[in-house]
Amino acid sequence: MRIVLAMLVRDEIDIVEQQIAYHLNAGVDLVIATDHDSQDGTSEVLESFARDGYVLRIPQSGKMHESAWRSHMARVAATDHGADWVINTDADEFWIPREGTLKEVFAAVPERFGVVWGLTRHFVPRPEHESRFAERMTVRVASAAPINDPTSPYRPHAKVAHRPDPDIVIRYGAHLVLSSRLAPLSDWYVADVFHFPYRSVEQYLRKGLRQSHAEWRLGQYVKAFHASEQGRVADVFDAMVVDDDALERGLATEALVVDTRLRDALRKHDERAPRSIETAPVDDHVIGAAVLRDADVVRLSRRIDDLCARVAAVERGKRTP
Amino acid sequence: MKLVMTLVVRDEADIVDAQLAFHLNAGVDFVIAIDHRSVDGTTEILESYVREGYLRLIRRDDERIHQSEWVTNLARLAATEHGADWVINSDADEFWWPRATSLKEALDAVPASYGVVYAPMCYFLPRRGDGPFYEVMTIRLSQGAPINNPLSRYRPSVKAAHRASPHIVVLRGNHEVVHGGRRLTSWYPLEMLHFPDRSPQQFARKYANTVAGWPTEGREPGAFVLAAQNAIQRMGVEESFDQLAVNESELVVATDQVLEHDTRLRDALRDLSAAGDRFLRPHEVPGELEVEPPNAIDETRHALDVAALAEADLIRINRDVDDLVRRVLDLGGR
Repeated sequence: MRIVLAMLVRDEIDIVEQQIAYHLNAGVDLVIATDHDSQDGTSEVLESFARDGYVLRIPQSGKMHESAWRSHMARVAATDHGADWVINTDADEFWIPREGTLKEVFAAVPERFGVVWGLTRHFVPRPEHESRFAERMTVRVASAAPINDPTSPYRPHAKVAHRPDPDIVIRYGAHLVLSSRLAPLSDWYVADVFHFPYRSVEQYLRKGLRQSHAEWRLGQYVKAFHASEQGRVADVFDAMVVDDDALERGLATEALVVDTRLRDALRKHDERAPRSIETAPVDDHVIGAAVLRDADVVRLSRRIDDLCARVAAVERGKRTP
Repeated sequence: MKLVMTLVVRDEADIVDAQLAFHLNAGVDFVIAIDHRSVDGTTEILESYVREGYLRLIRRDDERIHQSEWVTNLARLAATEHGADWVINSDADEFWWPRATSLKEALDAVPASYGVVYAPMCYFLPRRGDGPFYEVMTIRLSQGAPINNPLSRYRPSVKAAHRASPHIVVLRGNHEVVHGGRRLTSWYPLEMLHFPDRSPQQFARKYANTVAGWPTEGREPGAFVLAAQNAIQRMGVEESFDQLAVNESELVVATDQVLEHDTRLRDALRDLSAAGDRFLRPHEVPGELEVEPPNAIDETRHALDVAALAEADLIRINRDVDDLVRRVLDLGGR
């Protein structure tokens, strides 16, 4: 089996090398990376992996065309690189297989299903005493109910992986695909996707400013943009940081859990020892999946609201010729 | 964006100054208020805000309260005479808390296609203690599952905020509006911190006023209002207040299960308090009042709080889809 990981990346120097190294060691055979105008050394990291044949770097510049770029990578993985499975992800995401290795979980997917998802687990920013993100960010949100606030970085969602399809369309954010060939398996998640969206105040500001002008202006990015306009980025970021007191409260109320699985895996990687990653408890996974379903009901509700508005516009057009 | 608050108030001198100062500092630009037969000093507090240009005051001496009609008129005035973009309709014991750094930032994030948003009620429990209400009442009820008993004053509930419209109708209790546009549910950009019962005297006067001023037509007062009035008559004011109040031994047992320490309003009002038991107006405060935006723990807590309200969503989705099917068929001429 050949696994290709496709990702979009722009200026993620503090995380990109560990992300690629982790996935290559966890069973990914090739990384296709669309590098969007990186200026911070990310391009050089990608090129160093490319020289060894692990990464195919596709440079892009100018306005972002996220869905088109992601779709192109997923199609090329099928047509030119012999992928049996394609993982669609970002530089701040780590696919942690539910059990065993990535190859084992994909092998377990019945033949008739072609699209699967990884359940995103959001890690919170922590005080920056330790320079490497994986060493300090070992706490994740464990909400037993969905956070639906569009200005929150912690809304439940899932990322998509699929079998090869030369005509596939990957939608914005790589949460959904359009495929006439592949059937979705929607009630079992192959992986936890560990997500480290905000790691330092500089990175929060940079990401927020860029993404607030992207195709979809997500509320969390607009919030960062407004904070920067008002000169309050540090305050807004500080409010998101979970310090030791907040951690204690969060653990007591079960809002947060400590999860060191990625940290431990990356430490083993440093030692060049055999790599394995612990499996999360089943109930943790069941709750996460239920919360995602509830959040999907809310998303469905929003799509129906949009549809209602569009139908109303058509109705008005008919009444006033 | 211009944000206008409407307020209908009767004899709430222990809280109305804090309520006005908080909202004006948290993003409200102007207040339109009805003073209904106040005799306890509320009128004078409202007039001080009029003199400073923050408030338009309308007096009503009607024997009975006509809450929906009055608030509807105030909300329409906000649209027609005060250039409001958003309107929040409030009582004196209600504090609209933004789930952002200010009320404006919270409402700015609402997509243009939505006209009405809701604030889930957070009930702060009465408690014996010295000092103003916000120093004493820092214990909030946390509902893991909804309380559905009609005799309870703590049933899950929401208050509606809406974009300004000259045609708006605000229904009784400000829980819902008509002609406000599409309703946004499941995401609540605001919370309503509610401090209904603050001291034995205030508690007794409020329920007496409510029952005496209730309209002679239409629905009776809520069952909990009548129950409170009966309890006061049966046990007396002090004992019935104590029965309602949370005591220290309950606090030890129940904190972090059904009760939570919540000092958000206390901390904000401490920042705004000035000498002479008054609160600072926006022009007296250097910079803006900054509300701490929610962190991961608070977001998780809020998600659990509002989960009790979410079951209605599926019913609404089904109804909307049925309606859409019918309309699309009509458009197709079938």
